[in-house]
Amino acid sequence: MRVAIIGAGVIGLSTALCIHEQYHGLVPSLEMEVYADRYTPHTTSDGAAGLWQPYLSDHGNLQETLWNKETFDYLLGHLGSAAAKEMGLFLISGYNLFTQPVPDPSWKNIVLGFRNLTPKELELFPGYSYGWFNTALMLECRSYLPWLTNRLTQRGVKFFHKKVESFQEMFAQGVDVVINCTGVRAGELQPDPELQPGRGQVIKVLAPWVKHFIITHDIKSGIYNSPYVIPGSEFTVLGGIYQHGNWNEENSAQDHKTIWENCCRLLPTLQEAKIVQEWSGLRPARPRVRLERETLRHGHSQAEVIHNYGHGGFGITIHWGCAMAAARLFGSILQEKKLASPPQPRL
Amino acid sequence: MAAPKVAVVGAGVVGLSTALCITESCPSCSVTVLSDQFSPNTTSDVAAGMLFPHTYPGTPIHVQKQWFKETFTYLFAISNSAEASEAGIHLVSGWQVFKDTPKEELPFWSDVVLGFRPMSEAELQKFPQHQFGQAFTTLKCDCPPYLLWLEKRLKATGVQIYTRKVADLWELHSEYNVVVNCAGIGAQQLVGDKKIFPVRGQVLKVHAPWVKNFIRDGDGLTYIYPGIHRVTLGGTREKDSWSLSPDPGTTKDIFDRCCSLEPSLRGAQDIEVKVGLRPSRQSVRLEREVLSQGGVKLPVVHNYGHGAGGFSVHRGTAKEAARLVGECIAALQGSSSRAKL
Repeated sequence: MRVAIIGAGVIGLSTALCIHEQYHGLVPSLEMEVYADRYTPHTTSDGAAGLWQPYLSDHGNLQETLWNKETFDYLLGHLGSAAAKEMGLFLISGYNLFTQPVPDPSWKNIVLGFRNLTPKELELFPGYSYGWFNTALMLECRSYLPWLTNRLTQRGVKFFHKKVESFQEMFAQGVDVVINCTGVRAGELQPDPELQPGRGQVIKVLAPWVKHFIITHDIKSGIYNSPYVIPGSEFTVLGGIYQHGNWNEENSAQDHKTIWENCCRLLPTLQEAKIVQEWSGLRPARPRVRLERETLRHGHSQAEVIHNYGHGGFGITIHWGCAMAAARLFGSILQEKKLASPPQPRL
Repeated sequence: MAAPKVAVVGAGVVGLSTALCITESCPSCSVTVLSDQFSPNTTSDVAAGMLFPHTYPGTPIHVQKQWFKETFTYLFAISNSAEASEAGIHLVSGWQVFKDTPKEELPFWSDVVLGFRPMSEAELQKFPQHQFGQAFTTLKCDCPPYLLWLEKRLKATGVQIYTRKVADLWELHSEYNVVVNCAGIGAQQLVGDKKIFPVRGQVLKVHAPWVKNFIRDGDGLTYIYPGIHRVTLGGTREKDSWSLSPDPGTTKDIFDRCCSLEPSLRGAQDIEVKVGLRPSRQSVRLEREVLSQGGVKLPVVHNYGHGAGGFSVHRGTAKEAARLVGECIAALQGSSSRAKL
């Protein structure tokens, strides 16, 4: 049974690991391969600061809220382990700021210690009259993706540096199941008008005195179009750009100015921060994550695709829940092919 | 008196902040700082600089609260300004966890720090050996940056700073009108105070930049305080020990205790060991005294004995000391104008 994962961002690699962990024991013939034209540190995931935080509203997507929770709990469980540092995983506390009261988010009971900000705390942020404080997690992909790659390599998963042009190309090679984790460029494999780039730009600075994340929200301008400051283990990420439909991966001087001025206004001490890097990326935005099976005809037989893309600006936040769901879909494929029965209790 | 000459002995956080307060409340004063040690070799440099009060048994709680509040407010304003990184002042959030629920669940300073509340069940799960905890946000003064920033502010107002070992406060009587004694643990020898005693603290300063929250065990012995570049791991409280040499067994013990609170510290790099002697006393000695020999008088203001709470109350006690200096000067001016009659 040959499985090919297309895409080596956080979604591709975690889905690969999740499936391999669960099914390699049950399907000894399982051969897994990863195909991607971009690997860490050049994926979209690498540009993200790595803060676990869903959007403010789940728009009724309860499924996504559950996947977010599954991811948070999974990561929290790894915090005390020896692997945490290598994974780029650590706790971080911080602020979400608003110019008016807002309803509590779907994730208030998922994160730790969620509460409203006190008046004294709001004094720190002139212009904002309401906010939240909570402790969440950081998962830095420049560490997490190499960690996932190492786990996969140890398990014998093969990696190929290749741009896959079509699903048929994979099936023609003898691949039985394709896991499509191609993110923002999924439309190149199969048109998807619902998938659009949500262009972001960030400035990475050295500001090690900043210990909290600060995310501002402007209901009018929309998610991520308001300044944010997210301290990582080495750099602090300044951002606040979300341009729907913009495919340009080049850094924009105008966006740089917007980010820098807005973040320095939010946190005056940033004026002393040294700028180290600038980066632009395309969030794979979609009204909802596409996580489903598709059976495609290949000659006289059928071949299976599991789609797992469209995670917008919350890929890291939701990745493990989606990987587990993709693994369940994989399990149902195996059952249909009578390659594996559901795990039986041992007598 | 045209320009009263004030000498401040000591250049730790108390000496430097006291000198600064004197320049603020007495602009006509000529202030000089004298010390045999400066940053990075003061007791203050060893401390993490967390704003977390230590309770002085001999001082009324409302006074301690006032000192803490004044210090917190002062630093809060700086932390919010463009100078914050130069001054080494930053906010830090975290948890104080207790193995046994403390008698006093709401300490006197709970409404001075930010967002104080009991920890939730979910937060406590990270600390399986602890059953109660408090979450809050406070400030940290990183040294050397904070002391260097104070020195810079002092020099900008014309304060002279000299390296000098003062063996006896009286030796300053001919050069200065008022002497302020901020000698910390040095006061034991300098003024023969038998009520001050060292409480030795050994700490590790490590590179672990992923640690963004503080964790402190309510017993005060184990703590993890993330600073700008290094995380301070502590510690010990060894009463009456004068040893400034790091003890390797203690280093291992501190490291193990901190790793059990925060396992990821096993990956910490570049472990630097430091030792400081907390200048401990039942109460901070914050009072006036007049030394006199052969008819000559020297007004002295004492401001020492802050023990484990130096950073937490430094600004509050500095302002009080500056006020006492003002009283000394007024008394001198009063007596000198009487002498003119």
